[in-house]
Amino acid sequence: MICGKVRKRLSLFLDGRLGEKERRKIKAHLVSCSRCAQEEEALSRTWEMLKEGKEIEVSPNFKAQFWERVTREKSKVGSEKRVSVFFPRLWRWSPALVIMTILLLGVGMYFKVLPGRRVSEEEMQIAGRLGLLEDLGVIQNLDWLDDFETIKQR
Amino acid sequence: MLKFKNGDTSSFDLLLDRYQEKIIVFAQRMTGDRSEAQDIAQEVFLRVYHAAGKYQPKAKFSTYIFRIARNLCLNRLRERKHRPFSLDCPITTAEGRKKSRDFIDPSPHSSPRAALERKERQILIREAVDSLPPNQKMAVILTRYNDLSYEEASKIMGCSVGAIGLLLHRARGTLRKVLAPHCKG
Repeated sequence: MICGKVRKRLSLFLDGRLGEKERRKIKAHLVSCSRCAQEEEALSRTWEMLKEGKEIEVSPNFKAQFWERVTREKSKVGSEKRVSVFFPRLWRWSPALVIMTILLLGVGMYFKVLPGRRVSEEEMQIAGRLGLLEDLGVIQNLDWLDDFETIKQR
Repeated sequence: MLKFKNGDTSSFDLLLDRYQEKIIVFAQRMTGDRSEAQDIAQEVFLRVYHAAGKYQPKAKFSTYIFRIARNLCLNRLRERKHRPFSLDCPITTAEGRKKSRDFIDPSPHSSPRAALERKERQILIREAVDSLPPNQKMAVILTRYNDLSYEEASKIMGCSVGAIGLLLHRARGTLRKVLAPHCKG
C-alpha cells in the first residue's frame, strides 16, 4: 500500500471505521513503514491528549434552576392570559384605537386651544349700537346680536 | 420524552439527569465559557419542555436534543462576533466564583510546577481545538468529548457520515501539528 493512501485512511483506521480487509492492509503497512507508524502514533496520542484535564462539572443547582425558570415562565404566561380575558382582542384593535385617540385629542385641542373667533366689523357696529361692546367677549354671535337689534328697533 | 408528552411530568427529571451533563459539556467546549454553557443548556431543556406536545420521535432523542444545542451554540457564537470579547475576562463558575477563562482546574494534589505545566497543556489543547474551523471543531467535540458515533454526529450536524470522516481527518491533521510536540512519551 502507498504511504499517501495509508495516511489519508489513518483517521478512519483509528476510529475503527474501515472494513476488515482494508484494516488488515493498513496494519501490515504500519509494520513495514516506520514513518507511517510514527504518524499513526502521533495522531493517536494527540487524540488521547484531548481528553486530558478535569472533567467539566455540572452545577448542582442546574435542575432546581431549570424548574424555577419553568414556573416563572408559566406564571408569566398565566398573567398574560388573564389580561387577554379582560380585554379580548384588544391588541388586534390597538392601531385603530391609537389613531382614534389621536384624532379625538386633535379635535379637542382645536376647540380648546384655538383663540376665539375674530369679531367682524359688522358685529362691532351692531354691538356698539346696542351698548354691548363690553360683553362682546361673551356674546360673539352675529345671529344673537341681530335678534337683539330687531327687538330694540321694535 | 414520549412519557412526558403523555403527561408523566416526573419523566422530565429523568431526561434532565440523563442529558444535562452531555449538553453542558458540548456547550462549554463549543463556547469556552462555563456560565454561558449553563445558560445554553437551560435554554435547550426549556425548548424541549415547551415543544413536548409537538415532539415526533423521527430520530433518536439524543440527536434531537443535540441539534437544539448545536443551533443555540452557533447563534451565541454568531452574536459574540458582534460584541467585544476578551479572552482574559473572568468567567463565573456554577458556584458564583470568578475565575480565569481557563475552565479546567489544576489538580490540588500536584506540585505547583506540575500544576502549572498541566494548566499550560490544558490551555494549549483548548486553544488548538478552538482554532479549528467551526465544523471540524464541532465534529471533534461530538465524537471525542460527547462520545457520539459518526452517524449521530452526521445527523446533528446535518451532513453525511463521509463528511464527518473528512472533517475528523482534517481536524486530526491540524491538531497533530500543534499538539504532537507537547505529547508525553
